[in-house]
Amino acid sequence: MYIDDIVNKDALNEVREKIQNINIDSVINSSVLSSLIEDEQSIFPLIQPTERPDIAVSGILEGRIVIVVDNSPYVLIAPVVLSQFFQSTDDNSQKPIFGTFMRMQRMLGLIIALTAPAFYIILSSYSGFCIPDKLAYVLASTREGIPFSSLGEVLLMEIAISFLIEAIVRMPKTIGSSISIVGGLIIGQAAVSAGIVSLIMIIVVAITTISTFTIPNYDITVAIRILRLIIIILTSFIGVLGILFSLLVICGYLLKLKSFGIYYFYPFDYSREDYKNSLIRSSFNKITKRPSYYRAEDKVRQGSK
Amino acid sequence: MKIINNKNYIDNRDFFATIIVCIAGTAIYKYVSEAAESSAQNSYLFPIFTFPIILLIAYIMYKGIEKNNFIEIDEIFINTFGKNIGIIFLLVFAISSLLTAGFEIRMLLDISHLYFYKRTNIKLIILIFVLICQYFVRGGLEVVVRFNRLVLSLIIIIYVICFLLLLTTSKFENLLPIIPFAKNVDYIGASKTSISIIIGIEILYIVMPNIKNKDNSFKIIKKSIIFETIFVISISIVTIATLSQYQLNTYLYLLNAALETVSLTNELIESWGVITQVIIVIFKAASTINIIYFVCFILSKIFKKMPIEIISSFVSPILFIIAAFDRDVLTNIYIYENILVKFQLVLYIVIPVSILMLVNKKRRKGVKV
Repeated sequence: MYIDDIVNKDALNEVREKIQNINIDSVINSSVLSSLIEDEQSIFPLIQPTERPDIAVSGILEGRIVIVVDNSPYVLIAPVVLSQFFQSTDDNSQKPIFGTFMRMQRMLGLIIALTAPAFYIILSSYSGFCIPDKLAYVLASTREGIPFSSLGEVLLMEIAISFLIEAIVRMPKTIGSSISIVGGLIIGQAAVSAGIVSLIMIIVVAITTISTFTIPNYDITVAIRILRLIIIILTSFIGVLGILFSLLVICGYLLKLKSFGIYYFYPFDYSREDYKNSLIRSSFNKITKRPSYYRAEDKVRQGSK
Repeated sequence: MKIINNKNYIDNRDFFATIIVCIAGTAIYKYVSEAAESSAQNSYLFPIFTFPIILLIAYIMYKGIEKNNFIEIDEIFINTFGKNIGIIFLLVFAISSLLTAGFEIRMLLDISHLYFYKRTNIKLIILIFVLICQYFVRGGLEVVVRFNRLVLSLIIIIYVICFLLLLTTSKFENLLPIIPFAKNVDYIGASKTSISIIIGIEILYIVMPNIKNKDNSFKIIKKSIIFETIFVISISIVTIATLSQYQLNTYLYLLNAALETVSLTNELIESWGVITQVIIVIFKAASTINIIYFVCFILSKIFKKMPIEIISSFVSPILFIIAAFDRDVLTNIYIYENILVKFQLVLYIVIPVSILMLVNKKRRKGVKV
């Protein structure tokens, strides 16, 4: 589905071509189709799945293509850029300032989710770094008697949290909340009392997990969890530069990534006009153009051309 | 399917960001420290005097490219000097840039060593740094330029952070008396240092053939050099105003030394020098990526258009060897300042001037360029 006057024709041709080239006995659901037509195998979602009609309509009006798969509750929207996954439909139902605040909060959530455990490793293993001495003493004292290195401690907790999240996702809602209480609170408290992990580590893991889920897309949160592991391991080897270098590599990876010919990292590498409804949420009367990064045929959304 | 990757895809902002990242990435460290050696507390004045010279060098480079109808660097060199001499000049340019980049990487990581990784072997850090640069270079010019755009905002952040933090500790009477004509000032050394803030400008040869608005390009070059000059002068002023005459004469890395004096008690971050250093590493990485791309591009043209991905696999080990070769901090700085920078500056003057003169001569003779 698309609007002929608006749609990005190059992306449309690419979608058509890829669908025509599929030679498979059956496409069971939209996720299968998504993996068959994505540009490359990436840990980031290069097609946006949605079950909400308003998001699908909004995608069409931005010059994108909506792909409907028979018997699937999800439709696929292509192309997509990374910033799209930081937007929620709730942002549009609130005042612009609140919407902007929520989006900024998600960005901060992303940074914390990626780097918080790595910073814990730096602070506990690589001198005081740049924090005040008092805080460094507090950190050191909470780690007293812990049998693992800070890397071992972080990995242990990361694995525990991954299991917990997987269990909660697969369980019915009624049991899921009980598991989160048992896993999060009781086991966490018991681990601290037993001296396996430090109290600060529990705080770091809790903040990291909460920050991860501020981003309203599950695929992105999984990608963040994988990248976080890479950052943790590199940081444990070379300290602060580990975080820096891994963030640089992630940045380079995102700059290279494309979704149906559209660079995936837009508009993080700044484009003032496109900030209006991506990283910030401007008032609707100020959003006069469609996002330039989707290369819609008709660029003007409201007002005279 | 490639939609964006056509010719002339670099817009004005990309171009501005690329020049700033390439030249400021080199200047941010060195300028204050080097200039203080020759002119002490007057070092902030010299970029004002040498600004016209820097602009002139950039203008000659621009004019040479413009008169060659914005063709690629290899075609400019071969058309101007003939095939053999053209290739030799290209190789000299590439080797000189590669050596400069290698020594700059070592300088950066020597300073970072003081902050971040006292126990880790520097060679491991250099290896990772070089591999990251190679990763970006393999993405092509468009990825490099888009990364520059991203890093430009960081440059502005670092500038504001450094400036504001140093303002809290500055004593502006340190800048007085303004004595640019004092006897103890080494004018030639200070001017050379001041002109050397242009190092990295060779990226013009790679970027200019691909910019959208070519008519406007010199305006953008001018704006970016003005930005760079203001940037260097203001950082110099607050650094000099923070440190004493004795510190200016004895410390090796003045910007970092000045930032270490900033003490905001009871705040979460105690050492601002470390935070600034973190951002400088990113921004130096960006400028190195541009230079390595420049080298790989030239070599890919010389070696019969071999893909940059393959060329970069040969260039990276060489860069690693240059950066990791055993030497102490002072030897590294000495070779860099006294040989490489001087040689680069000579190249910046000799090659563009020769290109411009030979093109004009050909035009006068009626040869179509």
